[in-house]
Amino acid sequence: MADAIDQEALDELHQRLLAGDCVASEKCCAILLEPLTAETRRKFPKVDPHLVADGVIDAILDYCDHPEKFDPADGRIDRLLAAASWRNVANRLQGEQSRKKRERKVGAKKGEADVALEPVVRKIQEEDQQRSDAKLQAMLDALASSQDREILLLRSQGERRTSEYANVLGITHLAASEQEKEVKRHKDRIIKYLGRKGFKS
Amino acid sequence: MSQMDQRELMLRAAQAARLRPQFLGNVFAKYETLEDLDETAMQRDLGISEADWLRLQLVRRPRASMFLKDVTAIASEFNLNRAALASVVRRADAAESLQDQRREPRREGRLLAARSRKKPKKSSNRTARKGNRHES
Repeated sequence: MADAIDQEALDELHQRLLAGDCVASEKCCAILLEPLTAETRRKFPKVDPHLVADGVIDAILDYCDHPEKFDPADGRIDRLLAAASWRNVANRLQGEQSRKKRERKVGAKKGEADVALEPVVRKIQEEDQQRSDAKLQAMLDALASSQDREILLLRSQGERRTSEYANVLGITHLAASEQEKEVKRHKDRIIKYLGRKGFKS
Repeated sequence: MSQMDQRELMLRAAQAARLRPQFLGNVFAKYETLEDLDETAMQRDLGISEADWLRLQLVRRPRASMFLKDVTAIASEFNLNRAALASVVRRADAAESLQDQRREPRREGRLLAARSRKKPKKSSNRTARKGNRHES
């Protein structure tokens, strides 16, 4: 499938990227996305195709952002990108496992806290928790993107570390200050959107 | 598991580009937040098809040093109004600069406060010098 990629066109696009041609990045995506994704899917046949696609997309966009890091002397650009895609998919799989572990921990903590309380207080707290859970669930249901839902979940858990949000957004490759900006922008966007839907944070 | 077709892949790639500051998609995302617009409104304002809108997100943002050349190249490739595109990019960039500047004054305020406390009183120095002259 990698042979379906026009090598001559790719070499020419590589030169254009190095020369700073803005439009070349879009053309790279157009010729690389489908064949690289198909190849990476064959390497990870049981993995969610969206996760595979995201790994390939990150590899191509990283390349378009810094083409100078890809030296044709090290091999064909599409082979280097295939290797980068595989690494990205493996990293994302690991990230998914960490996220599931985190969600399981949150579920367990809720159960532990209730045990030692007075019955009346516990009942009030249970009702409050149920209302809070129902509200959170409604907010999660209002969000179309799984990424947005994950960000909201982190926020509801009181997560303050930018790195956790950056992992979800797939922007850990950015400088810390850029990560902070992007994380804030997404948080603000989600809160604004939920506000328009009638939810108060 | 189903295969993803080219359009779905491009859509996903465009969404990823909107998160990356080096891509035009990110510029549009910031502009939309500023102007409280959604992507459909942006497409309409720029007069661009959905397919081309996805491609446009994946274009690298114009370089500051080659702004006119880059905007012209992008406008030409996508048959856009060059002035409209330039205006969107400049607005998003200006808002971002303002945001960066707003973070700075907090440090300046603390420096000013520190300086005013450390400023020496001229009258006491003159008195001290007169006193010294008499003694010598």
